[in-house]
Amino acid sequence: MERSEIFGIVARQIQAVLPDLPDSEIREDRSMTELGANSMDRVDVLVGSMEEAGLALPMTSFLGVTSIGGLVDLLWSRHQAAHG
Amino acid sequence: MAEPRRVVITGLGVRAPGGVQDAAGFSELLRAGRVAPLQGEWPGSAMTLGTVDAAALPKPAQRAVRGGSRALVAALLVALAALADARVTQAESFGVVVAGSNIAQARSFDTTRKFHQEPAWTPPRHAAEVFDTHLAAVVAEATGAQGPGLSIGGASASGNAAVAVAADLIAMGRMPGCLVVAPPLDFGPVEWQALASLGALAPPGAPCRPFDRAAAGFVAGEGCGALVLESLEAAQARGATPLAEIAGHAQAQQGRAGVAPDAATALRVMRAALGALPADALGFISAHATGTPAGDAAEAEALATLLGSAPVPVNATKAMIGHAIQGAALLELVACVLQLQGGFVHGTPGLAQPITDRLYLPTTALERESLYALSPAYGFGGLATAVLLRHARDPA
Repeated sequence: MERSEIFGIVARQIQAVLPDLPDSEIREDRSMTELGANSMDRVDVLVGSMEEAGLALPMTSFLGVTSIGGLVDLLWSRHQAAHG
Repeated sequence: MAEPRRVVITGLGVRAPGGVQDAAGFSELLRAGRVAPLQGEWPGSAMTLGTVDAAALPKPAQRAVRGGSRALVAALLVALAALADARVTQAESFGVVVAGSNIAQARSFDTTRKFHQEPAWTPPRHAAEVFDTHLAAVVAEATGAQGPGLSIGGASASGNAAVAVAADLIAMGRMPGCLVVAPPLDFGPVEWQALASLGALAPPGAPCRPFDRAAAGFVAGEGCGALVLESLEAAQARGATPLAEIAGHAQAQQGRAGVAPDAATALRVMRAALGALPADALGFISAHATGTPAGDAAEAEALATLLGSAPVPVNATKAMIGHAIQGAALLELVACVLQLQGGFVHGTPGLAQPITDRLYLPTTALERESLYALSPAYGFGGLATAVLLRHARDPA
């Protein structure tokens, strides 16, 4: 899986919880909070993204992630580690 | 203690089988006696509401519903329609009362399946959505309502139970008004299988035949509705036009768990809801009448005893739109308001061989102005309810 595919997964999950958000708003330098996601939305995006990427990480793995790009990096590195 | 406030209905929203998207469409279906196509693939109801599109919601409401189920979106659509119908522009003081319990069973089933696949993939949202008050919260976010939020369950009588509690809270001055929202049924395969095994469902392809010797069980119909309830003084203060008054209501239990109906309990709640009003003052009775032989027989017995020789027409809305289960009672209250307002009493189409000759059961609509309508509803567990509506055209 390419890194861009992971970004696509995360973007889709964000759109599921923020359906009125224009695509162009979902950028790697933004945080989900800035886009209007509440605490439940944010964990929903994490879990939904893990499922789509075929990963099962403990929720503590996401501590310290502050941007959409950071989340993509984390998911991609774990995906690389798990699936090569 | 202060005199209880009078409570009126000032707006309604509805979606029902047969392509019904609003009150005008529902009124047309009822008056014409149009039987909606209901049977889908067994098990489970046909998705008879058709397409339910979150994109039809205004932007803030889309965000409030946040990837919610089809049922949640449909419920929000009718809630917003009811508020618009009532011309409510400031809903801050309003409450939201959800009619029904365990309203997201299909969702829960899917979530459980996901859990069995990988526990870490359980959507965290489930922790909030598993509570029926999640719908109240979504409606509150979309409308700005900041009054009480609660859910009132009563199986197939949930709509009546919710209206009764909401009306009492308004009558006591706990809130000036509220939305009562009955979401469409969202049973999962487990609930459908249990109902089928219980013998409650009509066989595939069979029509819904309330009060008919050919009745073979109920036919599910996906429908949802919402009512705006307000104190008469709050409605008048903002210049709203009341549609009907909640003139009485009653709830009782048979005192026996299980699914067997009971004529005596049905009679007891209908009499309690009428209070001092004689039964022959009713313009019509909107029967619960599911098309289940035992239930229809018990209800017919209770109605015949209540009415005696009074020529009060009795009708069965489920003959046209099927049984919306948790939403059914609220949909029937909406139907009653439309009949009071429209000056008609709908018929029970398809009724060929009535199970009794002691009731007046017209098969086609009557053009008739009614002042009062009674809407009983019953639920598994021996729950019995009745709501008495009064046309709001003249002050009592």
